[in-house]
Amino acid sequence: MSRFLIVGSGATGVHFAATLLERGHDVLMLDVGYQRPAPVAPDQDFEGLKDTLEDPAAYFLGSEGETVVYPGPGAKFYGFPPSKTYVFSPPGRFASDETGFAAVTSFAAGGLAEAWTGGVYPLNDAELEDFPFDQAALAPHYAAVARRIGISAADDDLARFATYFPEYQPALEADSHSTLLLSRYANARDWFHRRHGFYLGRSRVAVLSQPLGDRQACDYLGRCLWGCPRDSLYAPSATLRELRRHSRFTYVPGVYVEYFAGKAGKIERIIASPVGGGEPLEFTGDHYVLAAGALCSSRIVLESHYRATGQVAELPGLMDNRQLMIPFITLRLLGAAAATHSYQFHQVALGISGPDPKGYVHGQITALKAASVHPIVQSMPVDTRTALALFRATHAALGVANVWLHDTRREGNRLTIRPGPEGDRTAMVMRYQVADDDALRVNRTLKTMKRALRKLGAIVPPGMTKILPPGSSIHYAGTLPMSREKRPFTSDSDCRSHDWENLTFADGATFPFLPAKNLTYTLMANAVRVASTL
Amino acid sequence: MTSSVSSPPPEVGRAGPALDAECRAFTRYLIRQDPDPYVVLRYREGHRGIPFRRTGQRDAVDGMLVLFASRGSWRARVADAYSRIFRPHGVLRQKLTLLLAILENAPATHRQFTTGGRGMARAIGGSALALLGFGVALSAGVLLLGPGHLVLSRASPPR
Repeated sequence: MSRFLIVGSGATGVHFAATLLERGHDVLMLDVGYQRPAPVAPDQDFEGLKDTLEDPAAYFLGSEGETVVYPGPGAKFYGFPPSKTYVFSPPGRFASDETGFAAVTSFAAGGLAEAWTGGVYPLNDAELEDFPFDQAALAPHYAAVARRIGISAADDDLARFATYFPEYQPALEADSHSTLLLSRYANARDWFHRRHGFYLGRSRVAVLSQPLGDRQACDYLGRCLWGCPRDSLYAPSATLRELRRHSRFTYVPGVYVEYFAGKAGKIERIIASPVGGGEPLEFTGDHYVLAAGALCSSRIVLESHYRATGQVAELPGLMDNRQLMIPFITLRLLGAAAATHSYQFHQVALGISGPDPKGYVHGQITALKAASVHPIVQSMPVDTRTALALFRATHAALGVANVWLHDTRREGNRLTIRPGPEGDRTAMVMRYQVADDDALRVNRTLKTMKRALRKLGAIVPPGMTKILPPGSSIHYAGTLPMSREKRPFTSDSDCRSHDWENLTFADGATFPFLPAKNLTYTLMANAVRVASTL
Repeated sequence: MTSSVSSPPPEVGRAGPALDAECRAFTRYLIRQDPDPYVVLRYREGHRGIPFRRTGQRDAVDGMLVLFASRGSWRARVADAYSRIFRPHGVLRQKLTLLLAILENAPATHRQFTTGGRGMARAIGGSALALLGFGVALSAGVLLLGPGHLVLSRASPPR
């Protein structure tokens, strides 16, 4: 049996490790590993927290109001909770420089998916066309991941785009807003399909509707955005917890991997800096796995290449999904009571098909009744008191459609590094330009969405739709792509590096195409697939 | 409920009484009641992280709008309506957003932000009245604050 050294504890790293352990290997995992704070008052619901916490404003806004969403051009409709700032805190060694790209990285135990919204949608054969394998090759691994993490879903119209697996748990309870939208869709299904290729169904979410292991089923506390206190919403830290109970698994947190070194195309050691300072540490294994996220894994490869050759390389093909955020008001629900006892992120998902199946557009509808009020109120084009009155009248009727478009690898979108003086504190550098047909695709999608929402009985308030800047969807991929040709900085169909014989990439860096669907489920399934070959 | 808010920094401490008066006027404007001590303390504390303090972006027009608004809830509405159109990211809007964020999370006031299902007719009627109020406040703002804004903008360099 081999000793595997995995860098990163995110969604891919933990599932890669779990599969290796099942196959009898030893695993050493290196991680910066910032820890999630313990959940506060786990039995309280969203409103109850505000009644019982000693300092609720500090919990919801930060001790100095650091997560208040102030007026400004980049203001979003929902603020990010202070309890999740650990997910995005970089260690002092990390630096980045971006042009046209708002990159987000994580050094948390569990990685970026500690703050995800749980959307899980398997890719189909059209979306995998550029990959060196098809859906049949991934299907058993999707099912394996579903058994591990727990997915709630319904077998409905969206199954034509995202296979419904028997391993799924029953769908979560739908709130009144979602039920109304789905019923209006059902009444005009043919119109949606024929006129716009528009399909609606229940979201597939990594949230438990039934208990699984030591995790509890969702009991609709309404605290999803603020951190599920019952672990019903899956986060990779739950798998990491299980891994750490395994005798052949060793977890080393508090280290920032700088680069790897070796000779004759074989890695011999990994060099990492203690996050708290101190002399660099070296770690060795038989096989090395980069699972630090597409951006950070690419940085480690570039840094290693630079240390070995003195040359700075550039990786073309950086991808991220264009994201549109379309708020809407369902008129029938004006003045209705807003229920905060529901699953908050998204209970309804949508798909828009076109002539090119790879151009499928994917979306999720978020009601977020238990989100902060002030980001929405301050964004309305009236004074605050009027905005509050309008908010109270429309709260139950408000929804936001988050819609993603696919992305392709393009030569000009690059990731590289900029070495610091005397080789220390290398910065990760990204350049990104949207595709030539971006405006066309965005406008076409917005038009379809507005028509579909109108048919669902909703209106889109003018001037409130946001086209988020590239990098915002945090679905990064494409910098070390799977390739049938043996080219530098590419990998084979099992994500093994073409440059280093004992190096495997476990994250989205290897994806040659970025479909519109949320990526994490496929990342996990692919990690299991690749680990199964080792 | 006991508050665990720590002492404000010296700069906020010196401005404390003015901030407290502001907090009272703005709270009356937003939710038609006085703030409790927790909200007042949180409002002072929140000024550590408010953007204009970090960036230093504040000029005489901002000063005029905040001073005008802090003299009562009706004036606050006029200044807010005016700011929403002519100074949307300015200091007054930042202060009102901070206070709103505190009020929606404070034990004594958070339930005011939960909609109670008043029905569609009342929701539409209330919204229409609120919009009418905005129109009136904005008109008053243009008349009362517009000239001062113009004069102060000309007197001070652009931000």
